[in-house]
Amino acid sequence: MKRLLLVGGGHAQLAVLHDLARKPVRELDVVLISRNTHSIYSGMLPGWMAGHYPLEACHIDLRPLASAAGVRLVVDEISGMDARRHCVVLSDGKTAPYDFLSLDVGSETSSSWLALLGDRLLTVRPIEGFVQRWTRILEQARLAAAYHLVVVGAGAAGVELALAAQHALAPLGGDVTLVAAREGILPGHAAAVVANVQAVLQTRGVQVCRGQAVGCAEGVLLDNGQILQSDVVIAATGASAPVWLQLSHLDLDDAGFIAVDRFQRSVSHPEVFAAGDVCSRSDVKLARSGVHAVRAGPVLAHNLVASVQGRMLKPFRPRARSLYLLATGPRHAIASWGRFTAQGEWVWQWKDGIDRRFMRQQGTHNSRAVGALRESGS
Amino acid sequence: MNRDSVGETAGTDVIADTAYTSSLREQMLKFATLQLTDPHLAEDAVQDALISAMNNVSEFAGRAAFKTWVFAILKNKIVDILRQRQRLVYASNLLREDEDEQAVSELFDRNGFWQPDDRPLAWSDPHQAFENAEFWQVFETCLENLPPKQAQVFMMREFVQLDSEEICASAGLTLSNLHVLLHRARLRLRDCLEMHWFKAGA
Repeated sequence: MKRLLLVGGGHAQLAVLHDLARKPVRELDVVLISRNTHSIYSGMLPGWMAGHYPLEACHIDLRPLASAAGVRLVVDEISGMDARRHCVVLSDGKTAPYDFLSLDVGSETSSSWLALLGDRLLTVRPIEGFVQRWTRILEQARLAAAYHLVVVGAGAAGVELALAAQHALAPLGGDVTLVAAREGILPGHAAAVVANVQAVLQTRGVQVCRGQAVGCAEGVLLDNGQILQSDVVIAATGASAPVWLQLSHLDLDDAGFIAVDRFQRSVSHPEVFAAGDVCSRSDVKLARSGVHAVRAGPVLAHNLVASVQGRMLKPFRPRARSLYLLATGPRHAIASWGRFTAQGEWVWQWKDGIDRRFMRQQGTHNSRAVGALRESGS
Repeated sequence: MNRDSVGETAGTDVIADTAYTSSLREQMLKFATLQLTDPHLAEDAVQDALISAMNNVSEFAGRAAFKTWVFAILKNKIVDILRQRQRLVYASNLLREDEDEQAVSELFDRNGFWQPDDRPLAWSDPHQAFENAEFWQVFETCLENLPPKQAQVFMMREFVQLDSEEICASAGLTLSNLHVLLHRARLRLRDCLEMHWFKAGA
């Protein structure tokens, strides 16, 4: 009997569980190793921070999903792996061997500019840690006379976090500053989108600074010499790869992410697959976004089973343009799709609808009702 | 946004002054090498910090501000590198099959997981220290005269503010060894500073 090891309960891995629930594969022992019994859906995180959703609404319970898929769930953390020996190492030093491996463990937040902040640094990844800390930050802000929160990094994630934080902190007397790179907020988005978002940031009272930020005693030092006093600094500064990959003997890209081909398969080890933020495609450049992870899921699911059974693999063809629906604090959102932009409460309803549909699909572990996941978008 | 032409000139001047930048580079390298104990890694970190600093220098007015800036970048990088390296050591120890069981479990116990509440808050007051160039020089000289291991752990503790477990893991020490080294380093430094700064300044 072959063993398929699924590591991490990321968005793509969920599709694998659904696939296995729908079409069980005989003579395959499948084990899922996940840090938690629940995965958190990142698309709804800003809505949770802003108080629109309870945390449970963003939780995907892996247990019923795993049980429907006939998959054993092991709640543990991966500390390393050795692709030559076909095994991963758990936090207690125990090893788990595999014949086929699927990694969807996400990324970490790159913090080499902010590492000095220690306790006051809050990284967006891993997401579970972020969620725990955010609850405590709200408590601190409630007790403090003034509370200064700084978000470093003004891509889509940073903008959404800053606006959500502002929405939550303003009633408590806190304020939010967003630090963008010199080029400004939302690099890669169309000018009209940027203008829309800038106007909203201003209306909501989020101060925007431009420049490089570095951690210092008071909080954040900018390259113009300005110091931003900060009680907490949220780093939305891009992804970095888990450091243990360096010992894995897998081929990695320059930044240390697993190099995969169009089948989401390791370029060096054909029995290893990866999806989501932990990998990067060697043929196309993809933004690290949940959108791609969700879309890659069904392909990953197909290719894992196809590898086991010696069938043809399917390539994952990412869409050229992704739809971004940026929550702006209250029940209002801004859409960005290529040069198209729109905003309003209806955009929030749209985003909310997509997110809730995705969550409903995750809840349906009944093996006959899951095909819809394949069309899911956010 | 208004451009501060005075600041821009001053910032560019700092870079143009090659004698100054090369002396700054040397100071940074010394600092980084002490922390990282790996000359190549230190060289990389310094290079990284200097390049990033220079890319963003336009608005800095004068040397003091520039020095604060490059050292701020360097310190953040060092803390990051040390953490990453520690995790790498941890992972590689776990991965080594031939290692006897006890050593592996001991390492795990010693490192544990990062306790956020135990982490020291922030740097004492680097800006003020940097402003006083003379004190800094005396201090550096005193630090240089420490035995290398003492200097390393002292810097890790007092400058980078790592906690004991992290220092032990990075420097391959037991907790009691660390305490002894730190104690000795402090005594030596105090003597040295008293001799060369406080007495001289009084």
